[in-house]
Amino acid sequence: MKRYIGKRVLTGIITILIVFSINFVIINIAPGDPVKTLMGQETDDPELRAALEEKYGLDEPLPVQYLTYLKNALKGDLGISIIYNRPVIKMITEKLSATILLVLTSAILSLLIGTIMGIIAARKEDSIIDLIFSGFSYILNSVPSFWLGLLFIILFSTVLKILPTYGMTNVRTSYTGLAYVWDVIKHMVLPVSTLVLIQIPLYFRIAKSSVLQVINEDFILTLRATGMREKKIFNKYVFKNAILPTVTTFGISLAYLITGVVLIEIVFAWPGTGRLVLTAINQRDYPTLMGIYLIMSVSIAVMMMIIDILYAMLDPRIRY
Amino acid sequence: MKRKLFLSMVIFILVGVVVLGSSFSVNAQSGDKTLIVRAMGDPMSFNPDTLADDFAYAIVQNIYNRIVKLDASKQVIPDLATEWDVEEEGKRIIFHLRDDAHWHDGEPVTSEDVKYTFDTIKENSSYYFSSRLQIVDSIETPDDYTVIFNLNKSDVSFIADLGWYATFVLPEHVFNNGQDWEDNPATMDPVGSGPFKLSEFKQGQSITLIANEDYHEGAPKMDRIIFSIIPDDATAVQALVNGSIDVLEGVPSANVPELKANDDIRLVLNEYPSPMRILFNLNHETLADVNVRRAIATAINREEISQKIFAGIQPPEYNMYPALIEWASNSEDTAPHYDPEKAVQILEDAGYEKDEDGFYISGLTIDVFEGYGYPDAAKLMSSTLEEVGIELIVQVHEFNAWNEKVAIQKDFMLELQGGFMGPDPAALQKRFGTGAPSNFGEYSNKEYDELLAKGVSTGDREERAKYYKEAQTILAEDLPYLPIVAYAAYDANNARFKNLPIDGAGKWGWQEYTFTDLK
Repeated sequence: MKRYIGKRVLTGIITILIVFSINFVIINIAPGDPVKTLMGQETDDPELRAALEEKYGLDEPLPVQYLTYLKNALKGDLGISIIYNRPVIKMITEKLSATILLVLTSAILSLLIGTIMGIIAARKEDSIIDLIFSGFSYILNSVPSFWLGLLFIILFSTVLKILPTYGMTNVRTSYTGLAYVWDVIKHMVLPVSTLVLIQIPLYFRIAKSSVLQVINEDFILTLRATGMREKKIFNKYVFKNAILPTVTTFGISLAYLITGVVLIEIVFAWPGTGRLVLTAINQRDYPTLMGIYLIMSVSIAVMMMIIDILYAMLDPRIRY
Repeated sequence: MKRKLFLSMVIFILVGVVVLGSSFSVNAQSGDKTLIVRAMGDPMSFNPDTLADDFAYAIVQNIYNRIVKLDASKQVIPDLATEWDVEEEGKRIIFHLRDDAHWHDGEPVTSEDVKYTFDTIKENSSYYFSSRLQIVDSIETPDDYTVIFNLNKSDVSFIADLGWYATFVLPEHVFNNGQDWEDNPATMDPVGSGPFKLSEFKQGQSITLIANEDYHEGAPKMDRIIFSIIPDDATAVQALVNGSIDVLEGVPSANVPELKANDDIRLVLNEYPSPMRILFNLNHETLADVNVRRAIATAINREEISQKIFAGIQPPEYNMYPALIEWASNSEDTAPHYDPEKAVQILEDAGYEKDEDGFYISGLTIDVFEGYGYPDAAKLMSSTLEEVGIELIVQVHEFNAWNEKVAIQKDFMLELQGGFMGPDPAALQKRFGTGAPSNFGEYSNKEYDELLAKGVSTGDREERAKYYKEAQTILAEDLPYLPIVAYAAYDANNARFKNLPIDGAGKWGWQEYTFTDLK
């Protein structure tokens, strides 16, 4: 087990380095640069361009920029945003809590609801409940998230006037204490509901198909033949075997904790990291982009490592 | 058991929604007059002079003052300067400042602040207005309320540029401490002289301004202006309809009919001298022939583009300088109107022959950036051009990629662009003067350059208009570019309010909320 973990950590580090290098190259060879953003869309002044490029070290050759960045990143310094003139790490962390709140809540809710629905549908295959759940899941699966979000805004905010339209807190009034928590919860209802509904089909499908698969295995038939009670068979043998793919999916979806959910954050003007990423891409804010991608690849690598180790513990067939 | 759990969760969620709903009410604090304005994104900083920052522009106009400013009709009006004189054929510009303006910390605003601001910008080549200030030889301050700009060449359009981007007057006593502006705390915690003070900045959420009770034009009518960040247009429209926000600039044209029908919302058309236009690369062999450019100009149906893509909100533009700026625009010598038969005639007269595919000219491309209806407009052009035997292939890019290809590498045949052609018709020089940075197609006409030089050497408007109209006659003959449709968009606000920025032509600034009030 120790050797296995060591191997996984090593491959994780190599992966991060490779991803980092590819990101650096792609971001820099993409047309456009942060200088354009700084100059404003209306200007194309060569003198101003040269002055700004020098100021931010963009006139240096790419390999030099790469090594400088790598050296600083290893020391834990992600640099200063060219566009906002603030430390990248600060910009990311101050948006992180908003994103985590949104993504974690919806990930857990959709995991629970989707998986439970999937299990019920699988155990009562072809029943009316299965039909309803599957239909529901198909429809949700084909609904674009931004469209559903906007529909919710129109219905609950504009027509029914029972929920706030956008943002994380009320703009007109600043609350403190419990009232603040309540304010944030109210603002969370629509974006979380949208995310949950969008993600349910994923967990539903995985849970249903893997439960069905396990139920049809020979050893289940054998257990049934021994006269064991259905409930016991399910709880003891089916569930444990069928839950593995769900764990993987959940783990991967947690990676969005860092990157945020861009479309939802934009539709609901949620102040999370997803919007930070998109803005940084549009403005070609190299340090911010590199910082986010670095944190993202580290967190995905760590998440995958944990999942692999968890897998090894859940499933004795995995050899290390 | 599991079914019970699921059922109870569903019930829990439903109950939750109902409870939340019943407790939700619009929180209007009594006695506190607040106006909520939609913002697109975070400002880069609150120093208005280091960069041309669109997200900060609306905000800083309410915190700082300039020497002069532009109003909603994009014309120059007084700000700190109450009046100004032009001497020595536009080489010496004298501004008389008002003597009752104060910084938010109580210090008076004087000519020394003005001198310090522009001297510093000029010294720092990375500041936005720096290269424009190279025209300034010296700034004199004969007394506390007089500033004289001595220019090294005639250029009265400098006055209008002072009312545009990154020219806000900053307090010397706060900034002149040896620190770079970027590092000065006042860059994030501004000390201005304007009608509002910054109260709170929540990254990604909102920027709150509170009234400056001692403002020299009288205390603002609103207690607070909150710029609330909503990136998505569709969400912003809903927020306006349900009263979450009060002001939304640039309503998407698809939402205009719906909002017009709503009695709680007021819409006002905001027009800009920023036409959508085609630039020709005059270094391209085929396009160097003016007959080809004229044929293309005659085969584009501007009316159809205006109606189908912009719902008629952005009218066709034929004038070579935007028709909106009436005093300077030439309505007689314009780009040709749509006439496909004539377009064919022009090509045949110039000796072009059809190839086996029926094209007189094939393989032309137009580079377009995404959004704003531009790709669709280019497709309509392409289809009417095909009818007269000109092949035009539409190439769509993301904006930064487009900018790299067109503006930096100048690697294009035709390109479609927008952009401000103000604040003064002298912009015709910046856009099409020989060697000018924004002259991507590299048009060059000596006579045209001379007329534009004359245009900035006098402060007399009638005389200036004459030169600019003549220059437009040349443009209409040479057709280095083609105006397609004017730029205009509706600004919307909650009908409870009056005196919005859009209502202030000749009176207050373009995005200034000093006089905005409840009805």
